[in-house]
Amino acid sequence: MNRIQREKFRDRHLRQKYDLLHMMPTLKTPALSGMYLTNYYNGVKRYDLTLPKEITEANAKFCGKCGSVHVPLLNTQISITDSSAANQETITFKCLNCEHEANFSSHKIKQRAPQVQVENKEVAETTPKKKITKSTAKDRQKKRKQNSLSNLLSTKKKERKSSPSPLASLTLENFMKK
Amino acid sequence: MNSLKAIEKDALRRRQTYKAVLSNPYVNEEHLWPRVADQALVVQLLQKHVLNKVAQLRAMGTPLDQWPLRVHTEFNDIYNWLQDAAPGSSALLFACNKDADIPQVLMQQVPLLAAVSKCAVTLVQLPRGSLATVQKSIGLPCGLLLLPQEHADPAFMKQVAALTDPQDAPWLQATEYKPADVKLVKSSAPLK
Repeated sequence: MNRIQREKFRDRHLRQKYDLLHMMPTLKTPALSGMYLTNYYNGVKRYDLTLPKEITEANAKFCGKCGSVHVPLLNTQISITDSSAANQETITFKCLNCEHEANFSSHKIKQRAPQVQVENKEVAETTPKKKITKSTAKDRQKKRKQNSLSNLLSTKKKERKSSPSPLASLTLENFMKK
Repeated sequence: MNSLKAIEKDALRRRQTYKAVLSNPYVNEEHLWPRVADQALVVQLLQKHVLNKVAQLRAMGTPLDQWPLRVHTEFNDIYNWLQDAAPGSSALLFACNKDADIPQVLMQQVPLLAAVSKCAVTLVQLPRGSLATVQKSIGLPCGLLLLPQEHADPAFMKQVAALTDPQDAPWLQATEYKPADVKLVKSSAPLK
């Protein structure tokens, strides 16, 4: 067998096993599905292939206990319940063949408040929006320079010079004027 | 992702994934979600015929039981409706399956749910980002919106059904009981 023939054989082989797995719900023989699933996974392993996550994820497509394909309303019951953790919910898959339950926790979808009141909207529009200004490299460099020790000292000196000294108001002349 | 090593790793991972399983005509996993011819038009129709009405009813503060149209958004509610639906009825099931917030474990089962249900369900996948559009009018806790036929506009139902391909899952069709092709022939034998 050359490479192409080998690949064709491999495809046919795995496809047949995968088809058999999907025939199980119709044949109503869940006992066989576990065997077929392990057989299929062994085949995949032998050919050193990686399957997509939808197929290989535990309990998602196939039941973790009996190996049958999850088909809602037929052999699986699906329900969603609020979990104890905030903003979380639990998706439960219950296999009707073997009563095995699998739980998946997921984040709740953030719900936007529907636009109900027009007045509120207008109020929201009139409130001024804060402008977001991006700081450039030049600005950041300027700030760094301003925060240096020598700069801070010089600004303090300037402030002292500009403000009148408290002793100046206590001269004799000023006191006499008052 | 820009390093050569990362690109090589990604390419290797892509090569290894086995696509032949997905393109299997019997299981038909690649086309589990039926194709929608014009997704933008479907969103527009949904907005016009359902979402605008829902937004108006909410704005007026009409109680749910007095709404002229029934909309199911909770997953458990949708599941129960599809389970108990009468064989002759039909419904539209809109799904935001491409949005990031939707749990994929649940979305994986939605096409099967629609295909197995006794009523005729037209499964319509909405384009990416439509969850936010729908949520402006009504909250979707699981990214699904079921619209039963009884309360919906028939013209809208027809238009959407015409734009959507029928579901094709040969392995699920066999799950239903089919009438056997056995016929009785009336015959008579002469009395001796």
